[in-house]
Amino acid sequence: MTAALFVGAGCSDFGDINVNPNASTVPSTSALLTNALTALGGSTAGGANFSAGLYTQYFSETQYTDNSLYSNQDVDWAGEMAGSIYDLQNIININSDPETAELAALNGSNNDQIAIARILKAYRMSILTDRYGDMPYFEALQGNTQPVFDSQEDIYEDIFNELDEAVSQFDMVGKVKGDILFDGDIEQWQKFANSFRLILALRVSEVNPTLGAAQFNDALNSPGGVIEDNSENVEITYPGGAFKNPWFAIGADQGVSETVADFLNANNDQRKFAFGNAAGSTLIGVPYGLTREDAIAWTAANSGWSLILNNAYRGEASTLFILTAADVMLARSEAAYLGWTSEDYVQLYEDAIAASWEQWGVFDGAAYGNYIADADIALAGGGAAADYGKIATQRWLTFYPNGPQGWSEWRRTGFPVLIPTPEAVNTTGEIPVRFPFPSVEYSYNKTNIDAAVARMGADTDATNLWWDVD
Amino acid sequence: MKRILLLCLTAVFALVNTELWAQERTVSGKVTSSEDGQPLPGVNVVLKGTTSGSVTDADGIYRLNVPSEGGTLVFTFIGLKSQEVEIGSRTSIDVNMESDATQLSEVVVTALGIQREVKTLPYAAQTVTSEKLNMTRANNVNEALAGKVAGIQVRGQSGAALGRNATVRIRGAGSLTDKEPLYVVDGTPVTNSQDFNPDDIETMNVLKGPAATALYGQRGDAGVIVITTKKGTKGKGMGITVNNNLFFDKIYVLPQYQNDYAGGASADLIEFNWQDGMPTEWQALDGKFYHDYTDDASWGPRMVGQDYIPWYAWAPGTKYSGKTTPLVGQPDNVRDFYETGINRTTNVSFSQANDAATLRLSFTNQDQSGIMPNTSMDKNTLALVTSINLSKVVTVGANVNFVNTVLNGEFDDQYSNQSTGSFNQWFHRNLDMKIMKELQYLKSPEGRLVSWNHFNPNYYVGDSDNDGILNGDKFYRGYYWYNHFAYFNLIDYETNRSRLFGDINIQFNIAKGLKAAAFYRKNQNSIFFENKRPSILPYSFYTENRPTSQPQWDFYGTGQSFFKEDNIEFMLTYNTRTMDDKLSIDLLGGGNLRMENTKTVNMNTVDGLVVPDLFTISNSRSPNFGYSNARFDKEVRSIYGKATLGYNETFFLDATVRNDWSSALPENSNSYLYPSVGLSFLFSELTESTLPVLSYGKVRAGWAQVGSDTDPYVTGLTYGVGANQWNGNIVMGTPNLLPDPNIQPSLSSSFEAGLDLKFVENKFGLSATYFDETKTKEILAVGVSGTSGFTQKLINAAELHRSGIELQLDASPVVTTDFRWDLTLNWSKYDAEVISLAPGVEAIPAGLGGNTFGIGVTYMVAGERWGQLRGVSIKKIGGQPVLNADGMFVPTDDPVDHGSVLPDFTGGFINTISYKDFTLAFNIDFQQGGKFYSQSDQWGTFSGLTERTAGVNDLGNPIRDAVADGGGVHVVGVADDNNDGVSEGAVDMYVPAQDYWHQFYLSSIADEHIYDLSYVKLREVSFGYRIPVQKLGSIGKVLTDASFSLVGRNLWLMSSNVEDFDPSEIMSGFGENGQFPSVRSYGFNLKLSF
Repeated sequence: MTAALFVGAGCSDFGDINVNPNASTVPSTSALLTNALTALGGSTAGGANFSAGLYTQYFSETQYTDNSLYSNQDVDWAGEMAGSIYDLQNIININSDPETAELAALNGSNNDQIAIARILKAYRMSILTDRYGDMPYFEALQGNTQPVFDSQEDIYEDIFNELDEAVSQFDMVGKVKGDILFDGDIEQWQKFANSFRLILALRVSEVNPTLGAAQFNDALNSPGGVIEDNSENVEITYPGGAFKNPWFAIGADQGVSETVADFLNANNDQRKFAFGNAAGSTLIGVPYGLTREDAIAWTAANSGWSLILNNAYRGEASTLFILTAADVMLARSEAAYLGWTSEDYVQLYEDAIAASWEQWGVFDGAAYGNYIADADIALAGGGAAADYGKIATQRWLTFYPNGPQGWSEWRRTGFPVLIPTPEAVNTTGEIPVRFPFPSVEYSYNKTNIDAAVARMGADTDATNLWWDVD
Repeated sequence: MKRILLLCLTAVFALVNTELWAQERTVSGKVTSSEDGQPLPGVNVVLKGTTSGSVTDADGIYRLNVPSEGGTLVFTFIGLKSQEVEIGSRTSIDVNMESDATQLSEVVVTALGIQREVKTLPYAAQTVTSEKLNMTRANNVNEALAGKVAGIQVRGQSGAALGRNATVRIRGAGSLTDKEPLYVVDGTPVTNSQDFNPDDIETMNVLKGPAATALYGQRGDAGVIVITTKKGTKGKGMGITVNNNLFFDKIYVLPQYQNDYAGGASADLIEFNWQDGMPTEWQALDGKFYHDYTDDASWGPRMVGQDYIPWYAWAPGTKYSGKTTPLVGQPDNVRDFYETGINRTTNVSFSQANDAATLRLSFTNQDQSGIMPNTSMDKNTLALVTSINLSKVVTVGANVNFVNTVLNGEFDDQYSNQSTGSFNQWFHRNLDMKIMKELQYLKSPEGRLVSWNHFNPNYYVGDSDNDGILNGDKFYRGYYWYNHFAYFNLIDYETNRSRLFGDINIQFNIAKGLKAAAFYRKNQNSIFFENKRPSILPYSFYTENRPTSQPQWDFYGTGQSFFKEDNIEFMLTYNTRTMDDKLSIDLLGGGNLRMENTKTVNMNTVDGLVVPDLFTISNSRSPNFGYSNARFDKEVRSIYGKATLGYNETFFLDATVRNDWSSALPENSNSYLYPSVGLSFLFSELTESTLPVLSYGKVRAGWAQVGSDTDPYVTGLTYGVGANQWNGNIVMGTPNLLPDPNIQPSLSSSFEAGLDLKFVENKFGLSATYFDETKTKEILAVGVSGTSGFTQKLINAAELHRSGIELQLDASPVVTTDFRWDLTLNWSKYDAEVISLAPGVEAIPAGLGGNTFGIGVTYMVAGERWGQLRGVSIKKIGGQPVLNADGMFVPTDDPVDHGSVLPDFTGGFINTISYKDFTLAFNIDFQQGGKFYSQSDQWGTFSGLTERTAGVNDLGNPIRDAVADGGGVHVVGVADDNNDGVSEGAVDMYVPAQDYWHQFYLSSIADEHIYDLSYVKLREVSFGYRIPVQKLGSIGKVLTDASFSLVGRNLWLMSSNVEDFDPSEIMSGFGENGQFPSVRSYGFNLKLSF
């Protein structure tokens, strides 16, 4: 009947109806790179990274203090993995696939794009593994919905390799488009990769000093060198508007922690004028780890306590530091102290502090002179035992307000000595040294997560990471 | 495709011209009903032994050519006794027809608008008539269905959210997503139920399973609700009906609040000490006491009528300034916030019919003001139904429905919304709402609105957080909350929606039994919205220059969206009878072309407005204002056929087949075919003499398959360009949905069997149905581990199974001239199980929403009942809770499943009792089993708002007293500090109330806030009086019918296992999300016909 009329009509052919008019099937690798870089600042500020800053007592909560009290936090990595980290993987894929590489090369040489993506991916993955420990790595980012969890040791080994290889991969011809971080300056990318490798090399100092020393020296002597001057810092100046400095959104429910403020005030550290809004010459911090009731009572009874960062650094178009000359010099100081290099660790330490003050725009020659001469600050030299804690404490300070790096340094070195809140609500009452795996993973990837937990230890905030040797 | 349809139509026109046979003389007459003498349209008049026949028109008139020698005319009509009349030499034959109690007269409109006698149906189809539907004229048809159909679950919505609809689940849930049924109005698919005007509905027929919906194909896989609207009829009088009703809406179920403790986090009143720098007016308050205003919980001082300084006493210029007041609980402060909603509906309809045409024109205005301040809805509906007989052969018709809705107000019932999000989550139990309303526009000397949630006075001096704004300026602003009245009255959120749906059609009576029809159907919806947030609001919030989230800015947003679905449909039907009329054959073939198109454009300001209160996009403070646009197209082509064979009015065989081609599927697998077959056996035809008490008896069984596709553009990755550029660099992100280029159509197969019995001249009836359905290869975007590089994946794997029983009992125990009692009981029970998901996937979030805090979330779990509420529980050893050294519950390591969100059974009970001109009708519906998670309960207990956070312990002391003083919550359990599952002895102690009630959120324990969905509800009551117009003399000549009724809806939650919420109105798939309270309505209805 009528059916016959329809069948002959080529019913299966719909032409372009199912072609999405809102989006392109061909991604622009430069737009993917820009997108990935817009998320870079968040790796220091938001969500779990902010909590890391709480755990390391950079900040205090003034209203809802649950996170300061170590309440259970279920932090999914999906936003990072499936978001900008996959964009980086996608840049690598597109530039590697012969079918798409040619078109992608319009945005810069394939090798340069791949190398940049590898560096950024290594940086971002290191933050994740330092948050959770073992996690999917080698099988991740491939559309495989149940990737195996890799040991943190293996992940670190590969991150070292990635940073090493990427530095040598650059063609250094033309300019990579969409690079809003360094505007295509390849040498800057090399310095970023080498400098961050120094930081990660020290991170394994307790668990595998041999590996750490080797990686440290290799990175220090790698092509392009490391960041040695504030003009070479990895920093992002936000345009404001749609892309704001992430610290702009951190409101008055959080303040500078008394732990940080007291240290800065006690030694007249000029960074008190940058890390917050010092009232007069004193930076008033908020006591760490109060209950909600106590926090409200305290903020009501105390005037002039400081928000996080000075107004100059918390504007929507302010500059945000990712990795600076001071961070690198202090890493070199620590490595020299450990005997990994033969550099002068005291000199590096003092230079680093000067660089840090300059970086924050608070350098004052007289104050600096007094500061480094102060018994609390000055190094004895000659490998004195007390020097290690001072270096570590400065490393913790120069990373401020970068929660993940500060928390990792504290977890590894134990400096500064932090006292857990007496109001802790977690089982151990101790400062968390890890985030539990995202709970959805137990539904999505149970077999592999169970295997990882069996290997690492309980999936709690008290299980030490591989490199976190007590 | 369109061209092909035109070709088809041309072919049909050609057929129309077929010459009909000549006859020699004409006989005519009128057929009337023996009951009331009214003319009977549509009666079949056939010359016996021939195929020659006619049908009576709207006036009951027929005209037929007959041989000169005469013959016998056979008059038949469903539900009436057939008559045979010898023509003889007469030219005019009038016939009176009697009803036939033994023959079931019920006709239902089934798939594709096909009218069928119920006895021929091999599946369950339950019809709700206009009278039952409009017992109280509910605002939306879904709500009106509650309790009236076996096998549905009506999930009500609070009447506080104007224009929001109840949703219907048919036979539980058959998909991984919570699909709504397809609504088909006079043959036109309309994907949203919110625009059906109950006044215009004649019947609603609920087609439940694939056997009934096979002809709708994929769109019917969650069931189909076929709505038939009223048509023009010839009746007494002028055909004008006016229906007027007026409802009053009052707040109904609210949580049980505690009324013993005031706001704040501090258990003691705080003494105020005036200092230099504070306003001099405040000196009057020196030495007086206040409670903590800034903390928005109610863990404050015990209220015993002691003097305290209320929030408004600090602001100068009112009669309350500088004065204290007694601190007492305000048990009704939440109730006092809500106003009485008024809902007026007026419907006028005109109906007429004659030989040439039928017409019904209906206009409805609904004017509603909500129970929340500054909320309203104005809805106008125009419906035109007409058909014109151009000749004996050709009829054209049109159905046009136009609905315009203007909705005002913010109905954002989520966590921390500005009404329930405060009252049930963060609030002070000592707030006097009458004063809150009186002082809603109270401003500080700096021009800020004064909030009840302002700072504590010792904050006033200086700039404590050192942000450059003096504390004095920030003092009066809301820390978290505005004055609730100010907020609602100041915002201006309007949505204007216009929907047009209906069809134009042409039908041909080509030859006896052979008909053709073509339809052009349209359903389109245009929405325009504007959201204006005045500048005074952000200026009155303390984080003015440091927004922690976007909505705290002043704001203007606007947008438009357009959706349309066109269907071109073509159908040929052929009916005949052979073998001495014993074998009836009904054949149908047709095709459909569906074209869907969506377009949206949205814009909004970012980071506030430059010129205060100038609501234009160009006034955006950030030059990067927000914008988006999108469009979607989809096309589905279908052909289908159906055959029904009947033997001796006793056996019926039904078979359908349909093939769809969907543009959303990959080209190599976009065609899918599925059949259905059904049998019914009317055994009462054989037992008529031996078992006369059985007036109707039928068994039926059917098997069907339905295929389904997916959304457009999901077969490959596509990259959109982000709305904003970074210094000239565009951004693109990889999509989070991992597509499957090899996706295939999904398929559900179902079996259904049933028994229908009627006894004692149809006074008692029983209908029972068993169904069993399996869905395979379900297509769904499921959540996957983010480590894959994606957050969702399109899968084609899940298998679901559901089965259940539906029962419908009808009885008319008393039927006399003056008194009549009818009742119907509907009941159904169903299991819906997720057999498997994708390989290796044990569970996926159900996509039914989850509370923002992730404590109770609905998952689809392989091997479990559909929709498991999953959340961390309290660890137990031997049934005893494990307690730590502080007496706090130890949570389980992993989340556990707390049960399904689907009820075990649902049903309803409808009663209609009439005595003379009075009618009392009521409808009770019920539901048993099923769980929901309450976010309001989570925060209401955390914040010390609800009743159980106060009260006394078993020592007779207030639980909020210090443990040392005999207070605290008594906890009993066991210790397991080694965490090895072995009890280390009993724990029996008292813990501070605040710690006790904080622990559930802090440890993410879900148990405490999971409740039961069971309820019994008196849903509707109507008490009506039919005014005997005939006795009214001259008025009675104009007025043909008049009735007045008192009506009530949602009157009484008769039974429920939860006191704080109405389980019949749980909004989200997982449960309660800070939703609005339920509303009780009562009013009256006046209906006049002229």
